[in-house]
Amino acid sequence: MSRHFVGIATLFAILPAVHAADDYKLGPDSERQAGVPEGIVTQHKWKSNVFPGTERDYWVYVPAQYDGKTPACVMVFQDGGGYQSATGAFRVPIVLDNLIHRKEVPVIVGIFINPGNVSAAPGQGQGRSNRSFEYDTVSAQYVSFLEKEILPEVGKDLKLRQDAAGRGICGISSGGICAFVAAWERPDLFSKVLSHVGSFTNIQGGDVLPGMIRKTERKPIRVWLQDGSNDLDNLHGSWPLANQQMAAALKFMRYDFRFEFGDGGHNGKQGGATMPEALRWLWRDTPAAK
Amino acid sequence: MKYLFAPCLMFAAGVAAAQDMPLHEIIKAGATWKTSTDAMPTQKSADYSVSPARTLSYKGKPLKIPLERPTACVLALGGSHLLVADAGERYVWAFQIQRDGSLGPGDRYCRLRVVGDERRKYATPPESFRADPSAMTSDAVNRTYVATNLGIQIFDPTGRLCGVIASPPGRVTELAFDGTQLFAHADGKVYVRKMLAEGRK
Repeated sequence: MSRHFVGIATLFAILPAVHAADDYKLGPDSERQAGVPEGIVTQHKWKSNVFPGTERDYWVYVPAQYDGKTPACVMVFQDGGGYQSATGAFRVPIVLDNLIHRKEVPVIVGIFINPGNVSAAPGQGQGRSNRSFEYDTVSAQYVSFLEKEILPEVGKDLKLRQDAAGRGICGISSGGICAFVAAWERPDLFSKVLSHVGSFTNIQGGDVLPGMIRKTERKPIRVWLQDGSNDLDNLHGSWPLANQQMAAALKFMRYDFRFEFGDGGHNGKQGGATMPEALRWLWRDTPAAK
Repeated sequence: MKYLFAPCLMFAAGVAAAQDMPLHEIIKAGATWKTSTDAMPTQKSADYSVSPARTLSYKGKPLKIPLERPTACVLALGGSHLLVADAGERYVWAFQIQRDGSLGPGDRYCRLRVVGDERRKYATPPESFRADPSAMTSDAVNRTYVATNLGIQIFDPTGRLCGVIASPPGRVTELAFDGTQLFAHADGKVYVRKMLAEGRK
């Protein structure tokens, strides 16, 4: 009897610990650390002409190390409210505080932009969310909104780098495809892309991208894609398959890319947990401002 | 009978592989456009030309074709066909060349990539669906090169897009190969780019 007991106990002892899916946790670089100077985040509003009738909130993070003389690198985050929140999944200002302090990334100004809304005239029904139109459309309209409106506006008070090597762009879900398309359309403006559970599906025809990547001369952009095997599968497409298609196309065309494929769903948990590593990878060997 | 199976399979595989022409077999990794002091090489186009007034001619005699606005032409497939680009829409047409040099029936052959997305046609100006094909050439294995507003689009001998490569700065009005060098004339300057593909001898 005791022999069987020891045998069974041994079996349980050597079984690997059961791993729950989507079990991602923030690491120490996503938490405030003692002795690390904190940057400042300010909130603003913008009315656009490139997307006429829209209004939106945006936030600007300026690191403590910004000296007002050296042009700072820029990273733009779509659905910015979520990315800049100190209690959200990503906590980008906290991560940047830690990484910039240790010189693991250059001095980066963060611009966190929410999608536009068009309010209804009084008494005329509901306002319109412009998010899908702005983020899911495969065109140069959104990046020209950044080029003509947001970057010059933020650049009025801050010295920002004007070269693609000094600019990155990031987003989640529709914001992920938005970030990729911005750099794809204007690699002279953005050279680094970070996509979390990106919607490379047929919401607004974005599923053309893997084929376009394969039949277009390689562009000077660096891409970090994150997705999970339990991401969405619906009328627009399969997110896990779409992200794997994107990764396969980038690999075929020998892009500098990383594909982090976990087991999460349509959320920012894995993206948040890997944000410090993604930023270090994207901004590695960034040349100094000219 | 079964002894024919393997050779048939190999033949089919060979044909399929010959049509598989990715960009990295055409362009040289790391090569870019450089300005050149050389003159543009002349293209052998066997007497077909498109005038600036958009008339296609054979040995000076106008040819009637169902294209709104032909812009450029190039011989294809060993001289059996003439490819003609149309500024009016997004296709390069292929016409069979008859013994006397006139053109037989043709059809849309190479579908150019355009800026506009057909799913948003109602919200996009018509110009977005025109590629502005302004120059053409071909290479030794019958690929076609078309200068457009999105870059130089390269098609395989069956008319399928292999890929789009960057143009030199400006609007390209002439394209020609000299060995493995692709020359382009744009806005008064001559540019050259080293390729893996080469022109016909």
